[in-house]
Amino acid sequence: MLKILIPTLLLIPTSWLAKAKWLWPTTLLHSFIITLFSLAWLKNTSETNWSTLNPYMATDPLSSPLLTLTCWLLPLMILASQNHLAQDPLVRQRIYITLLVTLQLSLIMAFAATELTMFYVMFETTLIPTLILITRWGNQMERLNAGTYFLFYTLASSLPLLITLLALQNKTGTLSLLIIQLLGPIPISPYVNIIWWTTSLLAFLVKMPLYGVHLWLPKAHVEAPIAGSMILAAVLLKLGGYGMMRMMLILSPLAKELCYPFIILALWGVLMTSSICLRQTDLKSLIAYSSVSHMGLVAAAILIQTPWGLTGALILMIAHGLTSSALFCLANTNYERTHSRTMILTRGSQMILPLMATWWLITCLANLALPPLPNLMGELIIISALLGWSWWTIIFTGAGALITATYSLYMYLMTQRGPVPNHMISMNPSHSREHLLLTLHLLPLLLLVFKPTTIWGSAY
Amino acid sequence: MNPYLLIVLLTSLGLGTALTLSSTHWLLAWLGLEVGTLAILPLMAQPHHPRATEAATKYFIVQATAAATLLFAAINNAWLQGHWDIQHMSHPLFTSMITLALLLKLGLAPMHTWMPEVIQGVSLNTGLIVSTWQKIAPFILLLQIKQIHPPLLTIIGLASILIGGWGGLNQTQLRKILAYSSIAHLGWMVLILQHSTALATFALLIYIFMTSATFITLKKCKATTINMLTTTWTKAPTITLVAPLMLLSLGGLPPLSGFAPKWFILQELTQQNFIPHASIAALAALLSLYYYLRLSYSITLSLSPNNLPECLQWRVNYPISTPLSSALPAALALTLFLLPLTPSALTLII
Amino acid sequence: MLIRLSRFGLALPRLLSNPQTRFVSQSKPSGATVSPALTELHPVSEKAGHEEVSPFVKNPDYHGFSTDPVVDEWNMRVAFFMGISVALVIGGTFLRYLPDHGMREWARREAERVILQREKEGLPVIDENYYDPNKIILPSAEDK
Repeated sequence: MLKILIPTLLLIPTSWLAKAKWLWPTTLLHSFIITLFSLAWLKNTSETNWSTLNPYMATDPLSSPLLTLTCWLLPLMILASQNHLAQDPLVRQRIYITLLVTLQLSLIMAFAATELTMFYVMFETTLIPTLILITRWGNQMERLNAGTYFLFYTLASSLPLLITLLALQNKTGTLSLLIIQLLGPIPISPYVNIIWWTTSLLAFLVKMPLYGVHLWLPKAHVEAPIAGSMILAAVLLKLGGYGMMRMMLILSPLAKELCYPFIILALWGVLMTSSICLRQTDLKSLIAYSSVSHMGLVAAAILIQTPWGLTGALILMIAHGLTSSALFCLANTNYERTHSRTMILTRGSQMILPLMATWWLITCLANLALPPLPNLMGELIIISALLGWSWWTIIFTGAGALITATYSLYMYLMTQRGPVPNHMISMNPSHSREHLLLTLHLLPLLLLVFKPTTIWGSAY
Repeated sequence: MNPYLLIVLLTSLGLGTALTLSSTHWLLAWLGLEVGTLAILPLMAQPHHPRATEAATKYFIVQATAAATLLFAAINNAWLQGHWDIQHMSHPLFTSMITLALLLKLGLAPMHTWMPEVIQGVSLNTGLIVSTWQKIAPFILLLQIKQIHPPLLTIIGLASILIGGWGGLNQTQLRKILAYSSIAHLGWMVLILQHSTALATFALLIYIFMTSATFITLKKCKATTINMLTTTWTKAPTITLVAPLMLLSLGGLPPLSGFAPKWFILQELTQQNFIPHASIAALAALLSLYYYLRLSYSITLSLSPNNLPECLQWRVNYPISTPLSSALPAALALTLFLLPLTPSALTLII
Repeated sequence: MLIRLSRFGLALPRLLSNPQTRFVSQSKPSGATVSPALTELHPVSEKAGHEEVSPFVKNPDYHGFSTDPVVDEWNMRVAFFMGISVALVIGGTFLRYLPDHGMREWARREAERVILQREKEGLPVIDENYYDPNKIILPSAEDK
């Protein structure tokens, strides 16, 4: 674990001591080396599933794909932010990289923590760099509002979680994930049980976000700079799913019926948010709502607590992490050229940036779960797990998949086809940097098709 | 102010608190409190400004009322029980009276209304003394009284956290915001007082670190309103960088030191089965977080070249250095990085 | 030239009549070294002090990394080498050849072999009593 944490920590001196000219190449090189070594986490040779143990941190097949995804995202964020920071003074560029590294560190520690209290502390720690990323480096005035929403939605739901965790600690004497799964059912009265169950999951359901408490997400996504959107969509939302899977271990035998309203809300949210996507005019907002809809599927799959559900949820989380991050990168390439997120103003890009149109096509297809990509694998497993739970769910999941395809098509058609507006004619051609950025999002997605066991988690 | 006079006043401030801390006798404790109050009054009124005089008068009246009540209760207690011992106070009426007097001195809700008015009227340096040093003596007395009626402290603690959060929401004046922040923080300490005095002391310590850092920062930026904070980046760029972290630490976000007292207080409350109280306190802390967040927005997060939410202030450009600002790095370090050290920090106190 | 400048609209006559120094870029035009197609799209406008300057004007091989051509090229090389050659190729190879932990892949292959064999022999794929019922020791009824 320290093999990754210390190099990541040392990225901060790297970003401050590197020569001005070589700031970006050096940090990029450094972070890619970290990424390479982080792949070693995916090697799991222990019988108990827990490996790379130390007193506070460990990885298991559930957390290691998410950890690797986190490490993968840092170089990509550095690549993506290079252009829009070029105008900033050097010190600010260094501060920005430091901020990204801090976020990365807290995310690694959150995913790797074996103690639920430490997980909670690190879960909250990620809020500060993200908040600064959104509110300091965003572009519009509304970013302050978005930051407030982001912070208060998350905190208001997670403070009850803190109290629940502390109470649980008093009841059981331990919050270590290694031990807690071996505990028997915890004796509590039924009423307390309901509150306990709700508070434990609410923090993560808000972070996911569940439909109904999702309003912070589109705001945060729209206002955040590109790196913020990427990390938010790719990793921070997954923190919610990951936390739910961890908490479910202790909650599972308690309240089967309590899931029902949440599952219904999640599935209804899939339909609602994907319908909202159909009438979005703002590109980033559309992608954000599409994240909410995919996360609804993940939430439902985790809540039914079957092995297939958990596997499907993890696969979809990883696949969606790469895909939505790629979509935000694409949106950003448009934004950097036209300075507008409004889709109607940026039509017909295919004529101007034909290669980008290819990337748009592939990413949209990944978003609507085209075979053989892991997105499809995840969605299929989730849909069949839900179908096994209750066949009524096929109405929601089926319609959801249909609308997902529709809005992906809508997004593709609106941005790529149609007449080219005059103000777009003298756009810069696409850069090698952007092509590389998208390749690095989509190639891993394709490569995962060949070895999907890496992201199947521990439940299969 | 004449330096000799200043030395006399500051040493008397120290003397007052030291007298109170070292006494076991109510009379001596009262004397210490009075010395402290009288020593700070010239400091408060020193700027020769109607607002400063007003603040000093208000402070004097409130503190005198509290001290008189305290003396009255202590005398009556001595009359009934035959001793002046602080630790062996047991008469319920007079214990409650003394507690209320001390809480008035500390400025806890619902006896908090003097606090924002006074802090707003005095200079930032004096404000720092009023909201940190002057809290120590009454608080230590409060720690020593054993048999306080439990619901009294719980209700006052929760009310202070709520009102401290609520009152600050609407303010544009930084010193008022800090006064409300102080009320909210003291609420946390009073809430835990009856369960664990060590934790209450710990919370007080962390509160003093954080508040000193904030006051010194504001002094360095010469800022008294939210709008004036927006030019910090031109005056002290490094401070601009750490100021939001400092404010969020005041708000109690992990992994900053401000989270440590909140964490342990919640832990202790849940352990004593006061889960509803813990929940209310935790959620009420979000109210205060909102104004800390607003301050961080104007100090750092809406920096140039982004468009600013407020108008820039005119300012005179001269180097700012106060004797206090040399303490800033230490105070900031304590404000930000204490959380990983909490086990050791706790063992110092418990 | 005038046509291109026409987007200044009403400001054009004023700018042409009295070009103030603060509106004029002080750098020398470098349009001569740029390929004609690019200069058509991204005119090296002397008047456009606050216009977005296309990086392709200075460096036709711009990769999107930096305005300095040397840094730009090296940054591109680092990014491609580390991203594709190192992280994806070496990392991918590492992941592909990870040991078969818990013999899961082996079990899968073995199961498929057994199914093929049983189908060839005409046996049912799986027996109703997968474990021999005689060998299972159940707790007796009165233990409850």
